[in-house]
Amino acid sequence: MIRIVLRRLAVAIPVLLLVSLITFVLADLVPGDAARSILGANATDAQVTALTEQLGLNRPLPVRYGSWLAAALHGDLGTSIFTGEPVSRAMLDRFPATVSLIAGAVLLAGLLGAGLGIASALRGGWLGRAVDVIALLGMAVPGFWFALVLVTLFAVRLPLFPATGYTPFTDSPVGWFESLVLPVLTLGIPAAAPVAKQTRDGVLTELGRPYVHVLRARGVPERLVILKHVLRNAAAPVVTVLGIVVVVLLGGTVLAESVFVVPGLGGLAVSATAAHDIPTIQAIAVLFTVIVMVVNLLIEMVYAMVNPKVRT
Amino acid sequence: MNSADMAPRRSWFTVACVLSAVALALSACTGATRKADSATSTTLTFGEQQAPPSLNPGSIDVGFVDFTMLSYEPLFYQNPDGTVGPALAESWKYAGEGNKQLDVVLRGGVTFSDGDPVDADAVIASLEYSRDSQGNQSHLLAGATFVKTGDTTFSIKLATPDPVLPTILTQAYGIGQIISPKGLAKPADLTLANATHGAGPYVFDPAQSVSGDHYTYTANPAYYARDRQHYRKVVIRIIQNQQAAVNAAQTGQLDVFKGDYSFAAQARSAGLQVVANPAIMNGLNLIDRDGTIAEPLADLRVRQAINYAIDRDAVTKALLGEYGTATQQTVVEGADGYSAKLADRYPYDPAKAKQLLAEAGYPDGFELPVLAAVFAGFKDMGEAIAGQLAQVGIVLKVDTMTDLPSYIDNSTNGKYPAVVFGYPSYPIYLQGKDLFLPGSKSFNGFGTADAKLDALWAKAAAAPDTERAALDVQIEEYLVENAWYAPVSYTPVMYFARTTVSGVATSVGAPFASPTDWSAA
Repeated sequence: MIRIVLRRLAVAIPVLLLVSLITFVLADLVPGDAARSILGANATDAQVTALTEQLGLNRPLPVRYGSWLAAALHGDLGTSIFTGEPVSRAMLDRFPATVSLIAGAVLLAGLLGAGLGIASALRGGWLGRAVDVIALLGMAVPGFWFALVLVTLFAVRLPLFPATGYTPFTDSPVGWFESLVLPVLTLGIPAAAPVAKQTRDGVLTELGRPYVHVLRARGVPERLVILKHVLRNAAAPVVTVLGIVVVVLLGGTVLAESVFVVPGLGGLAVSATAAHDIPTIQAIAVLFTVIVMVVNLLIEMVYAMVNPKVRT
Repeated sequence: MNSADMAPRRSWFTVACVLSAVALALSACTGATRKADSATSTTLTFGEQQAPPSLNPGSIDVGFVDFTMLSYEPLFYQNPDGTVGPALAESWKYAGEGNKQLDVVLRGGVTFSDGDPVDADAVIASLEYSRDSQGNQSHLLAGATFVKTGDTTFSIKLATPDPVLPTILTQAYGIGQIISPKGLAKPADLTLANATHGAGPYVFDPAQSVSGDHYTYTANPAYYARDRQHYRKVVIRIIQNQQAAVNAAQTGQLDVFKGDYSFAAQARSAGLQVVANPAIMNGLNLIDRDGTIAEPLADLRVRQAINYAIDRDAVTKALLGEYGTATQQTVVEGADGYSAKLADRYPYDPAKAKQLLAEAGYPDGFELPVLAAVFAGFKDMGEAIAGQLAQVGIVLKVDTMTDLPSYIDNSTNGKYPAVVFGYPSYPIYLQGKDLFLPGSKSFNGFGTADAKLDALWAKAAAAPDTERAALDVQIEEYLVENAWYAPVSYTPVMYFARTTVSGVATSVGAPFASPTDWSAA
């Protein structure tokens, strides 16, 4: 297990450097400039030039990247070019909402997907076909439309949940839960579809393996066969799918943040890109990369736990 | 399959059902106790589509003044009907002739939220900062000097005449919002991370705000006009998704939001007030009037042919429905400079357009590169105009920019002879500065200079109000007769408000509503 962690950490540093460099170059290629975004349409060229110099954006790209990297290595993510705020503060303001959304959606996708997958594998018949249909619908229904349907039904017609906004947990745990229900359903239900499909296929595959027949022949109770052996062996690919779900959701939260007006990192990334705010873009790219790497590490660790062969 | 096999399967299914039921019950329990977050008179929540880069009124773009006017009291106040009234200035008058000196008397006993007194020294320092800050309104104070004549009196002396200086120094323009000496001591700190330093009805509270999401202001206990302080708290939320804004207003999470006409019907059916006024002129800006890169545009007959070839009523109805107003002028009816006799100067007449093109030597038309953008309806307007002009042989090659900086750069770099554009119905004096004088680069990309027009504008700027109205009309008539533009429609600025809010009003003179006017119904 330690070897897995060390191996991942060794890869992490060059990957982070590469991601930060690629992001910096790509962000620089986005049409337009930050000074114009800040000053607006009526600013003169002289004003734009002056602000460009003031922000240091007239320096060559390698120099700017070097400055950013040196500061970042000292824990300074810089200041937003657009708002003048420390980037770390903007990230901290928005991190809880994004984590809440993704954690809620993954939890929902895991519980719902695994529950449906297991139930359909064990019961088969109409339930199995229903899971197939739900999985197909989950992948086919546009997220934007689904979100609007949820808002119309459960916020406008039935005022059960807020139509927009996010309440921090520290302000009100109940308000936090309420504000997350609709966006989490929007993200989590479609994400449950591949989990259900993978779980069903995995359980069915395991149920057909010879060791299951041997266990049954030995008189091992069916409950133990399912819980101790079948589910354990079917879990690894499901965990992989959940990991992929997390990665997809990192990008997918932008939709939920937009429709439900949740102040998350996805929206910040979009607005920072539009404003050419490179320090903010850089910080988000690095953070997302770290999250993906941590998720991958956790998947490998879970794999190793359920499948001893992976440890070697 | 025996019953023993079925047992665990049934259990799993039961567990799944129970989990689902618990989740639903939990949702229902918490939801059942929920009530709509209807705003009370203690809090006003309104929606904006874009987040500001700072809260510095001296340098902020005029599009973000709603964020600063709550905290920074202006020198003068623009009423919803467009008239100018007192704010920090109690009284004022132009001295002598020529609109080059404005004498101002400040209200006494007023303090900023940070404790500094509002006196002549403080106001002069703030105006000097705004003049020198390189903000995009700074040029409106270029060359101005400020002379203190008493503790609460001072004069603004201008290098060139300005007949609408009091309007420019209202809350509708950032440069008129006064910053305290403490705030000016470190202007770099006038950011979203710090409290504000104004004398306005509210103080920005960074601790209750998340940049780019919501901005919270609390009542300023030192505000001098408590009867104009209508709420204890004001929250501005950034909601770019208009459907989300409608949903939020419908469920009581928003009291007012500035929106798009395409949501007007939905907002109305949701019981919201719809306040709209024609505000932004859209059309084609024929910037290469000297024919530098598009020779045909140098010929007046060609520019007039373009105006004759556009069916404005059809385009306006198609793009803006009942909320658009077809126009052939740069000012809306009722505004300074509007010419009734030119209301139909260019009726839709493709035959006349073709005749003029033939007379100008372009019987088969010509090709014209045009700049447009994906935002502000420019793309649709560009396509609509292209469709109209194609019928008389003028082929528009429309390039659509996806971002504002690229659009601005290409408006001014001499690559495009014509630009699909939008411009607010500002006073003719400001139109000169920003739209048609040689120095107004953003909208006069080739720097067209016309001695007669410049002289007319200068004369109007120095004239007393009684004479200026007629001169403004002459300027507008000159622009229309010489077909500097092909205006098509006035797009409304729309406000959607719950019935619990009153005072949301706009007019020809004040097309943008001020949140400081709004109160609980």
